[in-house]
Amino acid sequence: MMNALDPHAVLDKAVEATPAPLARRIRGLSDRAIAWLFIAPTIALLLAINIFPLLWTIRLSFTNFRANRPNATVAGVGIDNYVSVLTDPDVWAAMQATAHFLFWTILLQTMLGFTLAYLIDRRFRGHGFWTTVILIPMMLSPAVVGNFWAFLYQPQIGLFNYVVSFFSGIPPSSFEMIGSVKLAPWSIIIVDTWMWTPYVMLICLAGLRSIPNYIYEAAEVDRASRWRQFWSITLPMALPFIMLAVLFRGIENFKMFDMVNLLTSGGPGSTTELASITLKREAFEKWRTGYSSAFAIVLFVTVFGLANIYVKALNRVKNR
Amino acid sequence: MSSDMQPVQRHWPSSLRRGPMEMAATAVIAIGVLMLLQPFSLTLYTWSFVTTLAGTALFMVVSKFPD
Repeated sequence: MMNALDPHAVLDKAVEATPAPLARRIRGLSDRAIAWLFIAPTIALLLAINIFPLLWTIRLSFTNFRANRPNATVAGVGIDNYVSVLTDPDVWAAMQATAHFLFWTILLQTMLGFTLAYLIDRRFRGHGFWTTVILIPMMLSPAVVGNFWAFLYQPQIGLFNYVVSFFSGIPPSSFEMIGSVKLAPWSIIIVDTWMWTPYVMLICLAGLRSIPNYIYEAAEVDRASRWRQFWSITLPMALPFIMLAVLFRGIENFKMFDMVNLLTSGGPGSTTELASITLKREAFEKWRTGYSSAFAIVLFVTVFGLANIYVKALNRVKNR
Repeated sequence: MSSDMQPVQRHWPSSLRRGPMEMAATAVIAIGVLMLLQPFSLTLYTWSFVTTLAGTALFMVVSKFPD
C-alpha cells in the first residue's frame, strides 16, 4: 500500500507507460513550454467562445448585416449603427427603465442585506438555521424564480395579492402587479430584491465579521454608546464590503435578462423593457443584427468599465 | 560594475502616479455610466458611450503606471 502511494514509484510507472517517441519529445521541452502546453486548451477555448464572438460582434457593429438575410450583400456603414443606438429615444427609454430597476434594487438590497447581516452577526440562538433559511432564494434558478413569482402575482389565485389584501384591506383581484403599467416595474424590483438580498447579506456579514473585537472593547472603555459605535466603527469598517456588494449587484442587474423576461417579457407595453430585453428584441425579433451588435458593444463597454471599478474595490478590500 | 555604482532611477512625475490617475479614470467611467442612465438630456445620453469608453481606456493605461 505504501509502495503504491510513493510518488517516486508513481513517477516511474508514468515514465514506463509513456511511449518512447512522446517521452523523447517531452524531455526536450522547457518548464515554460510544458506550462504553456497545459494551459493551451483553456486559452483555445476562451478564444473560441469569448474573444472570437466579441471581435465578430465589433466587426458586425460597423455593417448593415441582418442574420435573417444571410445571402444579402453586407455593406460597411461606419459608425451609423452607434449613432442610431445613441440617438434612439426608445433605447434611451430602455436605459431609464434599467436605471429605475438598478436604483431601487441596489438601494433595497443594500439596506435590507446590511440590516439582516447586522442582526445575524448578533449570534442569537438559532442564527445558523435562520442564515440557511435566508440564503435559500439565492440558490434558486432565475428561471424557476421568474415562473413561480408569475404564479404568486396572479390576481385571482396568487398568494401575493392575498397577503397585500390581508394587510391593507384592498380586494385581492382589484390590482394586477404584472399587468399594471404603474406596478409592473415594482413587481420585478420586489422579485430581484427577494432573490438577491441574501447575497448582499453574506458580503456584509463577511465585512462585519472582519472587524476585530478589541476595537469595540476600546470603545466600551471610552464609554461610547451603541449608536456611536455603529456610526464610528461598524459602518466605516464595513463600507468597503458594502461598496463591493453594490458594484457587483450593479453589474449583474445592468445585464438582467432571464428573470424579467420570464416574469413580464418587458411588458406591459415597454414599462419593464430593460436594456437587455430591448437588445434581444432588436437582434432576434427585428433581426437588425448590425444595429444590435453596436448596442451590445455599448452595453459591454459600460459593464467592462464598471468591472474595472469593481476589481479596484476588490483589491482595496483584499489589502485591508 | 563596481559596488559604489547606483542603479539609474527613472524620474516619474508625481502627478502621474497610479493611485490618483486610477481615481480620475474611475470618475470618468462613473460619469459616463450616469450620463447613460440619466433621464434628463438626450445629448448627455448620446455622449455617454464615448465618455465611458475614454474612461475605460484611460483606466487600462494608467493601471500600468508605477505607484
